[in-house]
Parts: sequence; structure tokens; C-alpha cells
Amino acid sequence: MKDWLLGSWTYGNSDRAYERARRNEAQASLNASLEAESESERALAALRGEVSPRDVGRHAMVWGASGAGKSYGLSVLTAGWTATGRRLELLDPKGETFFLKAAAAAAQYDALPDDEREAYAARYRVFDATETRVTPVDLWSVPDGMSPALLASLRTAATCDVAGHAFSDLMVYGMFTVFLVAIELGWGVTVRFARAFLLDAAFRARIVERIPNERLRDSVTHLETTLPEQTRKAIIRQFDILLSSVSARISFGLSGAMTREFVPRSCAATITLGNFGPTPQRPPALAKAMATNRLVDVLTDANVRKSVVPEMLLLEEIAVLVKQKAVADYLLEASRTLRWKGLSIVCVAQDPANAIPKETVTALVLNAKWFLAFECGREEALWLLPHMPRSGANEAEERRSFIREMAQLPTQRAVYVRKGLPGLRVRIRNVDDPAKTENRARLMETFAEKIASRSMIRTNDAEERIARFEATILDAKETPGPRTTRSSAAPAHQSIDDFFAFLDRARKSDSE
Amino acid sequence: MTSSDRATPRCHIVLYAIAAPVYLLRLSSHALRVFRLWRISRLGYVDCPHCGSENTLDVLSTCPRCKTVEYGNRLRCTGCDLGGTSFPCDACGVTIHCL
Repeated sequence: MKDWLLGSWTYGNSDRAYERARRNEAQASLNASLEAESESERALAALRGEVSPRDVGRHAMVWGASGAGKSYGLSVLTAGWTATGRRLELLDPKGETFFLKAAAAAAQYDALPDDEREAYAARYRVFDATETRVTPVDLWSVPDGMSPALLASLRTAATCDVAGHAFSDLMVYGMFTVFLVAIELGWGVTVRFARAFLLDAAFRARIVERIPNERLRDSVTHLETTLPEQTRKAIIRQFDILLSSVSARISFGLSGAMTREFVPRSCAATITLGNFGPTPQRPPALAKAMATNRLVDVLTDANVRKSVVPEMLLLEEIAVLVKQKAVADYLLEASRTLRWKGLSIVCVAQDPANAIPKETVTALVLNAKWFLAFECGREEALWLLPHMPRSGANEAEERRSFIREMAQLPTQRAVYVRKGLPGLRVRIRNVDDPAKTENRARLMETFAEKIASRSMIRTNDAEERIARFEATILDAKETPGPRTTRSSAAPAHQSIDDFFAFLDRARKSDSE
Repeated sequence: MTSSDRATPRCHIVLYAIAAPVYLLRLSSHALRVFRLWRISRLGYVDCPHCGSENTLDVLSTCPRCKTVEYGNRLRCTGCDLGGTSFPCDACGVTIHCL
């Protein structure tokens, strides 16, 4: 009686309690999942535009097979980001996202009243190359606080990546020296300049006094002993190939001062669209090199700026950009250190696990705060798996089914993971692609004429300017002065007699 | 038969009579507590007196004594037959005494 009273009667029937407990647990787990889902939804909504201050500076990775909807997804994300006036920097070595953004910008430009169009177009800066116009790139100006040698080494890495030729360490050294001299003197790099610098001792003797950096002066003075003539000629051959296209000649030939003459620096532009895709005017390898150079510029700008500026750096086809170890290291360093400057690096790739070097991709995945994954392979699916809510099934079976699910995701379907929250299966909303309803050619014409033309220059004007500069430094006896002049100029030693005379003078001055 | 043997039943009766109200009180008190526990068990949840959050009784719980994990009433373990009367609140952690 007592057992019954203090047993089943008091605490309830065990079987019924068991059933109720199963139901309660299932409901609690559903509630938790719904709560987490709504939190993830909020996070996704935040990404569309209403980004709180703590979300600024969060890196991300987006991946998926070709045609899975990455570009449209990125178009949605970036539209939300820029709608609130935040800065966007798009580097597109493929050109697809660039054209989507350009068409949308042109359509919006057309829809605006006349008095608002000017201000709207001023928000854009465009990097592109067409038959008659090209965006001047300031490759040789050193940002405040940056070492010229670092800039030269990064430019060298980007340039070596262009050539199909394998660069020996001597060739890399020679190219680095050419670039460093151009940076120190505030000049552009042309084939004529490179040829004169590498092969003409008289020219080197003329310019060496203008180089403010003493160690570089010493290197240039002894260039013939450190760099064999055959190597110097090989470098010139590479420059000949590299600078064979008009856009390459302009990009490398314009100095910082010349670039500013053409396009005064403007702070009004908040959206920078870089089309580094293959065009009839530019070889694909050169376009990739220019994309890498632009990446270096953006990271350097963020590195040296003092204030926190929310900015999204969208790197399409990241695998193309991080081929060179120096550039990959620079990007990884930036991903670790530039969060507090407000820079959010969003890396986009088709097959990141295989296309990007292992250590680079591991660091990128580790530093990313959110992922947007479209149809993808096994390795990428396994990056997401720890963040996905458990279904309660067998772990191995769950892994297999998730890998299968990711491999078969339809277009526009994706998995969004924000670290710390359960992954969310999302469908990217349909993008109002203006090119589908309007004539794409007309939209691109509007974009080129009204928006892109503001940041581009005529190729003829640029080539004339470079030719004038070449004439000044190569044909004239007096070369244009560097940015800073050396206080104690020492005479150049043209011959061994000059060198002994210099030693005698130095010995006498020591004894006095 | 001694006088004490004869007095024993009578004494017992007197003692029982004197103690009866106390037993009655204990019985009613115990019955009340058991009834309260029965009511809580049938209701399925207890409100925390500290934070006011609702604590479900029938859940997947671990026995504090034998550590058996089972679905069922969290106050009772079918493994060691423990009939508990208190448990910590899910929300704030304070001990909720059901009896």
C-alpha cells in the first residue's frame, strides 16, 4: 500500500511519464532549433544591409560550383551592404559579378532624376580596360608608413605571376631592383626605362645620385657584378612581353604623379568595381596581375589608415589572387590584423579546398566568421558539418547524407553558417537582373559613359604622357628629380681610376 | 496476572488516545504533501518560486544518486527507486522543493 502510495500513485505511471518526457524533449529541441534559426535569420538579414557595428570587420568565405548562384548571391549581399553607404571593393578576375553590379548601377542611374545622377555616379570608381579607355593605376606611390621595399617585393610577386616563364631568383632580384628604383624615384616603369637601367651603365650612373635610399644606391652601383648580363637581357625580354599591350604599358608606365594629373584622388567614391576579367584589350594573365596589384593596394590602404572604416573587400576567384606566396601571406596577415580597421574580407572560390594552397585555405577558413556555401564537394561540406544542427541520426550516416545534400544543392540554394550559430539552409532571393528586362548592351553603354568614364582615361592621352616622360629621363642629360634629394651627393665611379681617386680623397680627409 | 499486565492495554489505549491527535496531524500533513506531489506530477510542471519559470517534470533526467539517465518523471528514478522531492530549476538553478 505504502509502495503504491509513494510510487506510481504519487509520481505517476512510469510508462506515461516516459511518453510525456519524450514529447517534452522533442518540443524543447524544436523550440531551441527555431530560436537558433530565427537568430540565424536575423544574422542573414543583418548581412543584407543592417549590419551592426560588431559585425563590421568579420571575414567570410563563399564557395560553390559554377552556375550555383554565387554571383547572384553576392550581388544580393553587396547591394544590402552598400545601400547604407558602406564601402565596397570588388576584385573580379572573372568579370561576372562586375557585369551584374555594373548593369544594376546603370539601371539605377537611368531611374534617377537628372539632378541626382551626378552624385550617384560619383559614388563609383571603376577599374576596367576598353579599346579606347583604361583606368590608370598608381602602382608606384608608396602609402604613408609603408616600406618601399615591401611594395616593390609585392609588385614583383604579382608581376612574376603573370609570366608563363619560371623566374629564377636572379630575375626576381633584377625585377625587384627595377621596381624599387622606380618607386624611390617616383617614376613609372617602361620597357625603355628597364632597358636603359639594366643595360646602360651611363644611364645608371646618371640616376643613381637621385636615389634617396643609400643601400639601393649601393645595389644599383654594383648591379653589373650582382646581375649577369644574360639575366638582365632575360628580364628585358620579359618586360617586352609583359608590356606589349596598351593597358599594361599604361598601368606600369604611369607614375603616381602622372596618375594624379589624370584622375585627381576623390574620397566621394565608396563603391569600387574592378573588372579584371579577360577582355580583347588585355591578356588574361595581365588582368590577373592587375587584380593582384589592386588587392595589394587595398590591403595596404587599409593597413596604413588611422580610422575604422567599414569596408567589404570582395575577392572573386580568390585562388587566382593568392597563387604567389608573398601575396597570399600578405592577405593572411591582413585577415588577422585588419579586422579592427573595419575591413571585412569576403573570399569567393569555386573549389577552395583544392584550388587554394592548404595552409592559406586553412587560415582563411579559421579567420572567416561566416560561410555561404552553394553546391560543393566533400571537403567543403565537411567544413560546414560541425556547424549544422544534429538530426539525431547516426553520425556517420548524417555526414554521408550532408555531403550528398551539398553535392546536389539546386541553383540558388545554399547553406549559411555563422560561427557560433547552427547552420541555416537558405534560398538566395531572386535578383532583379536589369539586363534580363532591358538591353544589356545599352545598360553597359550607359555604365561606361556615365559612371565608369569618370575614373578612366583615354589610352592615347596616357601613352603620350608616358612618351613625354620617357623622353625626359632617357633623352635629356638631366633627369627629373626624385621626391627627396640626397643631402651629401657622392660622385659616381665611372671607372676604376675614379674609384682609386675617390679612395685617395677619402684617405686624405681621414688623416686630416 | 499481575496488576501491571492488566494495566498495559488500558495504558496503551490512554496513550494512543493522547497521541491520536498528533498522529492525525502527521497523517494529514503527510497526506497533504503526498497529495501535493501527486497533483504536481499530474500537472506535469512546477513554477520556480525564485524566477517564476516553468519547469517540466517529465524530461530526460539524470538520477542524482545512481546517475541513471532516463526519460520520465525527474523526481523518481526507476533504476534505484529513489523518490525525490526537489530538483534544481532549469532557468535559475535554485532548488525547488516539491514537498
